[in-house]
Parts: sequence; structure tokens; C-alpha cells
Amino acid sequence: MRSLGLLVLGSKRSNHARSASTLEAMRAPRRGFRVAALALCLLTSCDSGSPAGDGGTADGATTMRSPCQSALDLEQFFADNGCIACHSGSTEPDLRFDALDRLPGMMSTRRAGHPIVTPMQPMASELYLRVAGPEPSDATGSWWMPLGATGPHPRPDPVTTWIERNAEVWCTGTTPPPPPPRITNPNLYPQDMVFACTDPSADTSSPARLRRIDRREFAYASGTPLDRRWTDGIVAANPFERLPEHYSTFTDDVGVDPTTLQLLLITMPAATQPWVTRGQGPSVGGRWWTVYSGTPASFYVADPSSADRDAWVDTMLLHGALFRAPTTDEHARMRAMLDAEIAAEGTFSSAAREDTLHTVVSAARLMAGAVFRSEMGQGTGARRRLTDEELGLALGRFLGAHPVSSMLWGDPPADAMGHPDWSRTDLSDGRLAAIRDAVRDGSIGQPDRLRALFRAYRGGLDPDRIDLMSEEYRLDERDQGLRERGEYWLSEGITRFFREWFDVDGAEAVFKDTPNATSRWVVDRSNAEATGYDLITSQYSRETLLPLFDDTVARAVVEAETNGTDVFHALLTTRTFRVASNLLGIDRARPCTQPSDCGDSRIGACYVSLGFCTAFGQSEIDRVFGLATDVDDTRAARWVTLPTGERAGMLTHPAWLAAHGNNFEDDASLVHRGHWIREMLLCDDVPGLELVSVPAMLGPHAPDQRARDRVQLASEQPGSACITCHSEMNPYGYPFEIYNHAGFLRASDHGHAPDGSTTITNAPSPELNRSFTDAIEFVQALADSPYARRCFIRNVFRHFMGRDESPADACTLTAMETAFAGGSFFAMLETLLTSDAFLYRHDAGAP
Amino acid sequence: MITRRNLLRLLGTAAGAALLGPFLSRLGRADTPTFPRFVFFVEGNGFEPVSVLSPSTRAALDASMAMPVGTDRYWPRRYQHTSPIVTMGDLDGAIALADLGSLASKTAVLLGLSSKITGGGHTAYHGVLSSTRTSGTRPSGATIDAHLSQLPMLTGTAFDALRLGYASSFHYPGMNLDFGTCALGPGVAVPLVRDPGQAFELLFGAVTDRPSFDRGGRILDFAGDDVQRALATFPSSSPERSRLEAYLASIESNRQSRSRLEAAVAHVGALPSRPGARTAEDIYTVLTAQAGHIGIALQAGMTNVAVLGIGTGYDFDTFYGSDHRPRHDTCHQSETSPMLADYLHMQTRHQMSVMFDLARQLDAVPERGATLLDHTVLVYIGDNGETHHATGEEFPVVVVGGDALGLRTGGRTIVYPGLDQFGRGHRQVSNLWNTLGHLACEDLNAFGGERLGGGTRSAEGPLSELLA
Repeated sequence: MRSLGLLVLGSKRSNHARSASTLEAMRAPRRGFRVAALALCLLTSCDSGSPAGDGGTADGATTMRSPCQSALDLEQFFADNGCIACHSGSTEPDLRFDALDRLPGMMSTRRAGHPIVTPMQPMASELYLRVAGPEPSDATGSWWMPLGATGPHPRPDPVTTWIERNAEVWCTGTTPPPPPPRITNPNLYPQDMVFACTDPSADTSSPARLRRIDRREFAYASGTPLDRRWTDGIVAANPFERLPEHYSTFTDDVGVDPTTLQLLLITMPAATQPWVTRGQGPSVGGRWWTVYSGTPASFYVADPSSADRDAWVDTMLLHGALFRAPTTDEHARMRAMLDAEIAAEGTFSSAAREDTLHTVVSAARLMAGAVFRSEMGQGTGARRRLTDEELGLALGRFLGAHPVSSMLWGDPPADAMGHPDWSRTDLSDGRLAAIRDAVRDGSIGQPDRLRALFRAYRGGLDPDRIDLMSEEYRLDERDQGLRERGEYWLSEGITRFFREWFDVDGAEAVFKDTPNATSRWVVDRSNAEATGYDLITSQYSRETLLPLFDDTVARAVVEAETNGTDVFHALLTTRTFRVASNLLGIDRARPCTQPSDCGDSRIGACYVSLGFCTAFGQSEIDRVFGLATDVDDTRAARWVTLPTGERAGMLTHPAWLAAHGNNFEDDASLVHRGHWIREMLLCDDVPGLELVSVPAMLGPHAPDQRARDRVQLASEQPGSACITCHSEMNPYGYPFEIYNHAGFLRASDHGHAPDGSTTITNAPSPELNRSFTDAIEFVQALADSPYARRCFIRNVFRHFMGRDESPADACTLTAMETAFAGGSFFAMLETLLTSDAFLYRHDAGAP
Repeated sequence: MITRRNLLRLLGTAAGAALLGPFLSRLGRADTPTFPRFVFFVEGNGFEPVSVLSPSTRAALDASMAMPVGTDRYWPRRYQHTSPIVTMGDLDGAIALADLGSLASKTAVLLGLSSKITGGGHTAYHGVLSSTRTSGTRPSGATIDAHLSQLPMLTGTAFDALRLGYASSFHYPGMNLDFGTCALGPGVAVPLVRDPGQAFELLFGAVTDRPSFDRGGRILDFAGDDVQRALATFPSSSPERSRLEAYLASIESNRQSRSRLEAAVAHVGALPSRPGARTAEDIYTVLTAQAGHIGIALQAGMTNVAVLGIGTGYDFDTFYGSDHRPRHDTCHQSETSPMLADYLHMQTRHQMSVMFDLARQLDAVPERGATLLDHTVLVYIGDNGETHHATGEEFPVVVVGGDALGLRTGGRTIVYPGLDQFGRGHRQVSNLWNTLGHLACEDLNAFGGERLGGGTRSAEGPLSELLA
């Protein structure tokens, strides 16, 4: 039987059922539409390939089955009222479009013997009664729907009409239904569907796009490091911030609105400074040492030569604005502006020249090619390969936010060998210079060359941590900085992926009231300071949760790659953590033999074993990891293998636990953690609070109430409006209740032993439907789960492609899965990098 | 560096009017249509109802509740009245309103308004101004400032809305802009500029650094030309074309804004000193400077809508005063320290005084037979509710001005029935926003995320007690 989807979408697409690609082209801001879209997509995927089916013709122009308008209206009603948020598969009844035709055969689970829907009889349909009333006398618990309603819905007409019209879903007619809107949440695609590669010869190219740069790219293009201690805030906090709910590589729905542009203009004086700063490097003490500050013949002369002007324009556009070779026209216009600005200076002065350069570079930074990176492809065909310049920029973004050819700054390493950019003869080639070479010589399109470039910049083992040159060090603190960071590294883009997938960026910002509460570190002066938590989350510190997290991830990945073991498994089970040194603040000018030698406890503590006082708080900076022994101030000592029963993998890292924890230890951290597991590791859809009208509040704090008690009381009472959705989150968060809100291991929990037990019954994959003792056992099961592994692959695709996956990407995802079968994350990325999805484009709006 | 004293001097009654003479005379013409202006002061981490509780209101509440207010600082679940309680005559008897002075008759205090949809907490982020719940960091709807600024009668200024703020460390990365308070729509946060130096440049760059302002124009000209050329070679069928077109429209919009700004700022006359980039961290120095910016912007017609956030959003533990006492920690400590509770209420008083100073300056500017204040509504509200860990069950509000717009203040306190009267006499913050909409001839029943019959909206319509 021919499905609706093919009739709608496949008529101009030869053999390729490009439904999802077309879906992606649609714009539908309302979340509810995604359900109908999914229904249509599901149908498409079931297409047999027949050119015509029941009631259809070869050209698809005559009779066809299409959704009844009353069914579409009903679905819209469900979407508008947030019903789909819960009733989308795991909570009965399923109210998604493709499940509507099953409603008439279902019976109420709340009132025995009563059907959910009796066609043509609203008053005999529980669906209607729950929305429009009256409330039956035998009803128990909360009756009214949508969630939180306290009485009949004011406008239940769509429910009434649909039931009155025989509860039909499909009608026969001659008018094609409206095009399906875009699915905005890829988790709504069943996982099997996006891994179902039924036609390996199908076109798997990606939609063409103009990709607006993001905040980090703008900052790096400005020569501004993003380490929070040293940066100029106005550039680092430029308005090109990412969308909160997406990976930073996503560009859908972002452009340059008037306010953003207004703010961007404010940043320009600082953002263009590297191209104005006089004098040439190396000037290692300054922040803005670059090899581009001025041309070989100084630009600070009254009348720079024409050749110098040309060279400056080309250099600035390539290394500071466009990050590709400018076109002849671009060069000519930029040169004309430079000439005009110089001419307008009047009498030459350094100050006037600085203004001129600021102006010209600011204009360059606002060029279309500077704000948007083209991924339109070459030529005008339906399927187009990226141009070499486009591919170079895309590969650079794959590796991170530093643009290809962007300026290098900092102090060259003592031994530059092994560092591809720093070992070049001409450092002015900038970052990722080998990619630029491959663009120039035309070899970048060769798969082997792409793989080689990726391998050169992806990460590995580097005692010099040259990748941190822009972020971490000033010359006078380099040695200290290297001790504090691990020797394993990943490219900025890969590091960002893990930060954003685990969603830990907020770890140091989420306020923690009494972070050590319920831990073994509860002491008289029980507060953030006493446990070093203020230091390990302080903006004035360097050894804070996030760099420690990054280093731990990097080691897990690099070691697994080196050893040929599974990266996914390593990430979720490693016990080798990077921790902070609690001896960093040792004051060797203040010897001590007893605490009183160091004065008041708020001033410092005596490290009797060392015989010196240490700064207050620093001595306990490693407490959040549960460490009771000293961690020396060396690179090696900061690698610690934590006890088997305490930590296992990044989901037990304090950064993840804190980022997904609340403000108090007895708050609902478990809900947030369960929510992450469900959405980011099981690729399931959990309704957002924006669709729920129930006041989501815990009861008051009480000495005998653990967090799990409070959450259970508030959200799991039989008949409560909360239980349906919370049953999808809470069981996945309970295992992490052996940790408190800040990630400390609990020692006791309101008079009980810490309890991480849970029983899962509604996982999308059977291997997870069982009981677990605690987080240690749970994360092991997740690490072994092929279902969770696939969700990880989907997230890799999203981040590195900068877009959501769809069924049209099934063959790409399948290839990634095959490459990842041996456990190599890098091999999987290479497969993606050399796939048609990465290399080819088609017009997003094309049929 | 701008100081409170020299700003006040700048904005002083006579001087301010003289400086703005030509422009203000235009505003004062009888044929100029009346239109409202709105200013929102948002105190991060909330302020307590007791700080705006006048003696007569306390007495009325004592008489209406089962137990007197006593030493409670917030009491949203103790209301028992079923229709609004209205008192008047002694607003300045409240701790935070002691500096009201002659403004008392143009001020009203609102108690009993809830906004549970925001979620309360430490901060509801964009929730309070949008009557929605921010999910994670994502706003769920446009905030009231954004909505009002797009009304036809309020557009056409250099800034659709001027959004400024204060943060304890505004010069640190990420702190100079606050994306956690205002939004243009779902998922589209719009920042407050918390660095007063940046705010100064935004407003006065056209006159303080004319060459630089002109260079900005040439930069936009170049960018606009470049984008047009890119469009000329871009496939006409590509949906991506709209990105370039939108960018070009933004460039054009900025050009127009600059023209408007240039015209407006030319009438301002003497300007305040540029605030020090990294020195003016004291909260009241910064707030005074930022309020001064808003005052000048309103008077010069640079904008009709403004927001001043005070440690809002992510900065809910902002610092107070020269001793850099963290606000939120102090709130915790105040639970067992009456002295610290008094300290907190005094901070609210100081912050409200900044608003009152601004109101006084606006009140000295004549407009259509009344004053600019009479055409401006200033709203002071917390960003999370009744206390530092709020439930959203009560948002105390102070409203000043708007007499000529039909707002009825009159030195009254209006205490709306509590949540036990939900669906009956209880009113919400969204009703206040609806009231402002009515002043601008707009019904805002659909504004925000609350819905009648869905358990989230108590009643539609404005706060009728606030309308003349």
C-alpha cells in the first residue's frame, strides 16, 4: 500500500524517499506540529516503493487518503494543550497522530469498563469527559485534563467534533493535505528509524546553508582567548551566543537581528584591536601579540605603499575576517575603503591611523562572508559538493571554533616539533594552517587528505598542551599551568562536544547552598569555604570543575583510542579522574607544627605532615572528589583512581552532578539528572515544563525528609497529575542520590544510609528494565547498552553536523555506528567527515 | 566617573529643563499625540512585602487575617480577604518607601499579586516580565518590555527598548550583558547592558565622539553594500537567502536608529561624564548612572520603554554596597538576624530611591499640561517573588506615575485577595501587565503563558482598581 508520505513528498524525488529532508525545510514554530509531522514521516518510512497505492495514481493527483481535518484539528488541540508532552508513547493513551486510530479500541485504566473513545458518542468517551466533563461520580484522583486543569476546558470542540465524526483519522479526497511541518525535536524519531539504512544508494547530502558564526568563533577570530580570567569581557561576551537548547554548532533560526548588530558594534573597538596594535612580535608579555600587527613595512607611516596596503588587506581578510581567500571584488572594495579612510585622516598621526584601521577591520568583520560561513556547495545542481574553501572552513569548525588561518598568539613552545602550526617556518600562516595548505593545493577534497588533517588536529598526548596557549598561560605561569592540566588533549570542537552533550557548562554557576551537606565533610565550619567548594568553582581559580572535567574526558578518550578499547564505555566507567591539588596554597614562609601556628581557622590551616600553613580553603579543594589524602602539586599526582564503589565515569563526576543538581541537597536534583539520562542518553522525549500547567514544587524541607522522599511525595502519589511525566525521569535519577546536589558523596542522608536504588520499568530498551543498587551499577548498564550507544552516536552527529538527524541520515548514522563498533570515537568522526552528509549539499527547500 | 551628585545636578529640575528646552518644547506641543512610556525596575532575588507595608495596610491586614502580620516578612498564604483591601495616606511609613516625599500621591503599592507560572526560586529569569516559566535558560515568551515596545504608538525611536542593569562584576566575561531577564520571544533572550560605560557609548556616542559615530555609519554602509552584493549573486530559490535579507534589514534598521539617535541626542545638551569602565562597581553609583541614562533617553525621545535590572537573573547573589556583601547569602543569614533583615530592607529602600529620583526628574519635565512622569509608568518588581527562595505566590509591586495615561495611583496600597481566591478575586502579575497594555490601548489577555480554565490564569483583564 502506498503511504501518504510518499504521495506528498516523493513525487519529484525519483526513487529517493527524501521525506525527512523535506520535513526539515518546513518551518513550524509550534511544538505540537512535530507530532503530526512524525506521523507522516512514519508512514513514509513504511513505503514499499510502489508508485501508486490504494486509491492513488502514478502522478498522485487523484484520489488519495489524507488525514481528516477533524483529526488534524484534534491533534492540534492535543499539541496546544500540552497533552502530547506525556501521551507520546510511554504514557497511555498514546495521543500521537499515528496512534489515534487505536483509541476507539482502548479501555480506561482509571474506570473499568469505560472506553477511551466511543465513535460518535462523546458522552460515552472518557477522552471527552476528561476534557469537557462532567466528572463521573465514580472518578478517583485528579480527573481533569490537561494536567493542572481544575474544570472543563473552555473550548473542547475539536475533541467533540472528532468523536462525533466517527473518530476517523483518514479520509478520502482529492485535495493533497498541507505539507507536513518540520520536526523540531529529533528525539521524536524512533531510534530504529534513524538507523534504518534501507537504500544505501540514496542521496545522503545535507541541506545547504549559510552558517552564522557563534560567540566562540567571533571571540577567537578577534584574538580573544575565552579563559574567563584574562579576557576582555566585551568580546568574550559578544552577542553571538548559542541557542540554549542546542549545540553551539547549530545555526538554524539564528541570524543577525538589529539588537545583536547594535551590540556587535559596541564590541568592535576591542574585537579589532589585534589589527591595530603597533609593533611586531614576539612580544610575549602582551595579550595581543600577533604576527600580523602591521605589515613588514610598518603601516604607521603617512602614506603606506600600494603594495603594503594590498598586503594588509589580504592578510586581514584571510586571517581576521573571512578566513578564506577574498574574491577580487572583496579585495577591491576593502582596499577602496582603506584608501578613503587614510585619505580622510588629514594630517597623519598614530591615533588617526589607529582609528582608520579600527574602522576598516570593523567593516570587514561585518561582511556577509565574515558573519556567515557558506555551505552552499559548488554550482547550481541539485546535489552539490562543497567548494574547497567551504570545505576548509567546515573542517575547521568540525575541529573547533578557532577559524582556519586565525591568528596564533602566545609564546612558541620550546620544541615546536610535533605541533603542526607552531613548527611551520612562517607562523603567520596561523591556526590549522595545514587545512589552508590543502585548500590552496586543491587536495582537501580527497578523503585520505581529510582523514590526515583530522588526525593532525584531533587531539592526543601533548605534555606541552600547546592547545591551551591562548587559554591558560602567561609566560610567568606556564610551568604552574602545565602542572595543573593533564597531558591528554582533545581539539576544541571535540572538547566542546563533550561539554555540551553532558551539559556541564553551568556546573560552576549553579548556586549550591551548603555544598558539603550530608557528605563526610560536614564539619563545624560547614560551608562552601570549608570544603574548598568555593575555590573549585571560583572564577578566580584555575583548577575548577570544568577543566578537571575536560581533562578527565580527554584521558578517557585518548587512552581508549590508544589501547583499542571502547571510548563510550570508557567515558561512562572511568575511575581515573583529574583532581585539584590541595597543596597548591602551601605557604613555605609560614612553618607550623600545630593549627594555632597558622592563626584563626579562617586564615589558614596547618599541614602538619608538611610543616607549613596553607591558604584557607585550598587545603580542602579536593573534598568534592571524596579525597582524604593530599594531592601533591604535580601533574602526575593530580591523576587519581577513585574507589570502585564511589565513582564510575563522567555521570558521577562532580561537574555533571553539580550541573544537573539543584541548590539544596534535598532538592529535586534527581529529576534533573533523570531528565538528562532520558533525553541525552536514551534519546527520548520528556515533556518540558513549558507545557505543564501543574505547579512543580516540592513540599517544605524537613529533617527526616530526604530528597527522594520529597520528590516521591510531590510527584509520585497515585492519581497525582505529576506521576505520568515524572515516572519517565525519577527512576533514572534515583541512582545518583548517593551524591548530593553538588556532587559530594553522601555519608548519611537524613538519618538513613545513602540510597541510590531504583527500579526501571519503562526504558525504551529492555536491557535497562531492571533494578539497580546505585549509580555505579546503573552507569555500567548504560555503558553496556546498545540503545544508549546509538543515542550517543546521534548526538555526535548533531554536534559535528550542526543540525539534527532525520531518517534521511539513516545510512550516515549506520556507517558511523559501524565505524564505532570497534570502539574508536575518532574512527567514527572520520567516517562522518568523509560522508556525503558532510561533503555534499542540496537546497533545503528542494522537493 | 559619574557620581550620584553630579548626575542629580545634571538632571536637576531647572537645569534639565533648560538643557532639553528645544526638544521638550516639541514634546509639549498640543498637537503631539499622547503616548505612554514604561520603565521597569527589576530587583533580582526579590524584595519582601514587608518592606513596602505601610502602617495603615498593616493594620488592615491584621484585622483581616487570623493572626497579625507580626514579625513576618512575607505572608502570601495567610490572606483571607475576598475583595481588594485599599488603604492610603501613609505610604512613606513603609521601610522602603521612606524617600517618597512628594511622589507619594503619584505612587501605588500592590500586594497579593501572584505569578506562580514563573516558578519563583532564586530567580525566575525572564518569567516575571513575561508571565511564563523560563525553561532552563530559555525564555518561553516575550517580556512585557519587548511587547510594549513593539506597539505602533511606541515604535520609531532609536531604541525599541533601553535595557540596562547592574551586576556585581559587570566587567567580567559574560557579566557585562545579562541575557537572563528580557526576551523578544520564545528562545530569544535580549540582553541588559550592565556596564554603564557601554550604556553611555550606546546613548551618547553621537555627540561624545562624533568622528567615531561617523565611522560607525561608514562601517554600516560598507557592510550593507557588501550584503547587497552577496544577495545579488545568491540563488534566488534558496531559503538561506532570507538570512542575508534579514541581516541587511538589521543593518538598515541600525542606520535608521542612528539617525534617530543623532537627532535626539543633539537636543540633550550637556552630558554626564562617561562612567569609568572598570571602577564604578559600587551598586548605587552604577544604578544611579544607569537610571540617569534612562532618564535622559526618555526625555530625549531615544526610547519609550526601559528596563533596569538590579542583580537579576544569574546574578542573584549580587554584591551590595562598598563592603561587597553578597545579597543572597545575606538573605539566608537574615533569617536569624533581625539586624540583617533590616539591612536588606534598607538596600531595597536605596534601590527604590534610585527610581524615585528618576521619577522626580521626569516630574519636573512638562508635557501636554502635565509632566513627563504623568505620561510614564515606573514599575518596581522583584524577579522571583516574595523572598529570596520564592514560591511566586506574591510579587509586591510599586507603581509610580502615569496619571495622565489613566493610571490611578493616589498614594494607595491595594492588597488583592490571595491564592485561596484563585478564579475569583485573586489577581496576578499578568493582570498588571494587562493594565499597562490598556494604557497603551492594547488588550493583553493573551500575553504570557497563563490560560483561563487551565488552572493558571485567575482572571482576564486589567487591574481595574488601578485604572481611573
